Parts: sequence; C-alpha cells; structure tokens
Amino acid sequence: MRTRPPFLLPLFRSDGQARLLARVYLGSDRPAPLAELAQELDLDRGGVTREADRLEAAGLVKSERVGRQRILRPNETSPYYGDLHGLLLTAFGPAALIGPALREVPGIEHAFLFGSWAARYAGVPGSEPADIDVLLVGSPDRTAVYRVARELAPLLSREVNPIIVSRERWDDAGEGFIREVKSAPLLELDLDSDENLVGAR
Amino acid sequence: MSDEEVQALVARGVLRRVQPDGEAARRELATAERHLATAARIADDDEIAALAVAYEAARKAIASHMRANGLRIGGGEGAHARIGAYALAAFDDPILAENFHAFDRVRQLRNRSQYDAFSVEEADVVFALEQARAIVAAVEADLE
Repeated sequence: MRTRPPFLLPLFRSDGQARLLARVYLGSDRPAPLAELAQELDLDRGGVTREADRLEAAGLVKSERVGRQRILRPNETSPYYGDLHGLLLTAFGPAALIGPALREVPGIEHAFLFGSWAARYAGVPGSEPADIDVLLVGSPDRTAVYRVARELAPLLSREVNPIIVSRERWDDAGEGFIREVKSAPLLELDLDSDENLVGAR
Repeated sequence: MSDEEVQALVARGVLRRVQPDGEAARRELATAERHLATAARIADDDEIAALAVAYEAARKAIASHMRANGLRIGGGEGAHARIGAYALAAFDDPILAENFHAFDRVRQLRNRSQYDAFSVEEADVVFALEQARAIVAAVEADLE
C-alpha cells in the first residue's frame, strides 16, 4: 500500500487510501471487485481490504457482496459524501474523467497526463498544479478535442490543456519537447475500456 | 458588443480606455490581412512560422477592434491572454466564441513552439489559419 500522503491533496492518510476513495467515488458507474481495484490501482490486495474495512466502518463507503466478491460503493447518505466527492474530483478527477470524455473523439491512439499534475500523482513533490496537461497521440479533430477540454475545466476546477502530436512525432523522439515529456512522469489514460485510474509510471 | 462585459474588464484593469483611433485600427487590420496571406503562403514550407504569423493575424485583428473602440490592454502580465478575454466579451456571438477560444489554444501552441522545442504539424497550421480567417473577417464586418 502506498503509505505516504498523496502530494495532490495530503489531507488523506495515504496515497493508497486516496486512490481507492477516488476510484470508488469518481468511478461509481463502473464498480469493480476489490481484487480488481487493487490491480487497477497498483495497490496490494491486503492493504486495499484493510483500507476498505476502515472506510466502511467510518460510513464513507458501503460494501455489496456478489458471490464471493466484495464491491465497494460510495455511501451517498454519509454527511461527508458531497464534500468528499468534491475534494476527490478536484484532486484526482483528471485521472478518472479525462479518458472517458476523450473516448467520444475519434482519431486518438494514446492519451497521457503529463506535467505537474502527473508528477504529483506519481509521487513527485512540488507545487500545486495550476492546470492539467494532456498529450494526445494521433490525429483527432482539433476543435473536438479543445471543446472536450473546455467542458472538463469547470468540473475539475482547473484548465485542461491538451496538445496533439502525430504518431510519427511521438515514436521518433527526436523532438526536445517530446523527449522531455517522456522522461517525466506520465499517466496513460485507457481509451478502450472502463478503467482509467491506472498506476503511474 | 456586450458593453457590460467590456466595462467589467475595464473596471478590473484588464483593459483601459484610450482615444478611439479609426485610422490606426484600419492600418492594423490591413496588416492582419497581409499576415493571413503570408501564413497561407509559407504553410507548406515552415509550419512553426506559419502558425506564429496566423496567430499574429488574429491578434492584430482583435487589437485593431480594440483601437477602433478606444480600448487598450491594461498593464501587467498576460497581455496576449487578455486580448482573447476582450474578444470574448466584445463579440457576443456563440459561433465566434469558438474561434476566440481556439485563438487561445493557438496562442499556447505558438508559445510551446517558440520556447519549448515543440514542433507544429500541418493540422495545427490548418486549424490556426481557420481561426485567424474567421476572426479577421468578424473584425472587418464589425468595423465596416
């Protein structure tokens, strides 16, 4: 379990707890069993179970049993639900919301979060991200991408700044900017499935 | 023109009032038109320069509109970003608003290409030219 507090919002006791809460609260439309959440979030299974127990005891989440599997859902009747959802959305929303929003735009082969937000998410300390940097590989319609970015900004309480590079430029790696992006923390957003809170590298 | 929003920008110091200068505005708009032609001409040979010139065409067109209406950018940082804020306030039109939002994206692309060793693609230049043409045409129509 990631035991240090998350740099994006160090109010949570650990990065693992924050990731789990963010996944459960912001991905409530795609609930998953604990074992899958652990894998998706790059957390150890035992730690996730203990954290789930703790959060359930505090009334922040509730469990549902499906066969032998345990599925967590946000407890919408908790007095903290609204505030907690808002905090999680502002702090961790980019990993959960940007991928699904981009799925409606054809022509995107890969989508990454980079820059200061991705660095904080990956555990690199630094100042609070002023905006969310997104790099798209492919040849999507510029207008459609920028429109999605503008719609996301008020939800995430930060500007979303996408840049688009062709597959050739991304693979070539001769360009200074792309080399710099690749050498810093990147969070790839899954554009094909319903899982977006993948582990940062 | 949404006077109320422009007034609010003046009150916040984003813009300041000056004497309207129709002649200078016409000259600046003519320069913007020449920039458009230049950007289209060099687009195939030099994408980074073409994007920068297309951006300048749009920026000068908006600046000429400000000049004609007796406004200038106030002091402080982010002058280029403020030009976009003026355009959004001054042209109360949802379709043009898309162009002005796009103008800001082109500004960011231009900055990255000027300072961050970032290349520009043909699709970026096409996008920038489309926005610049729409903005120059809107200013021309409004100042006629």
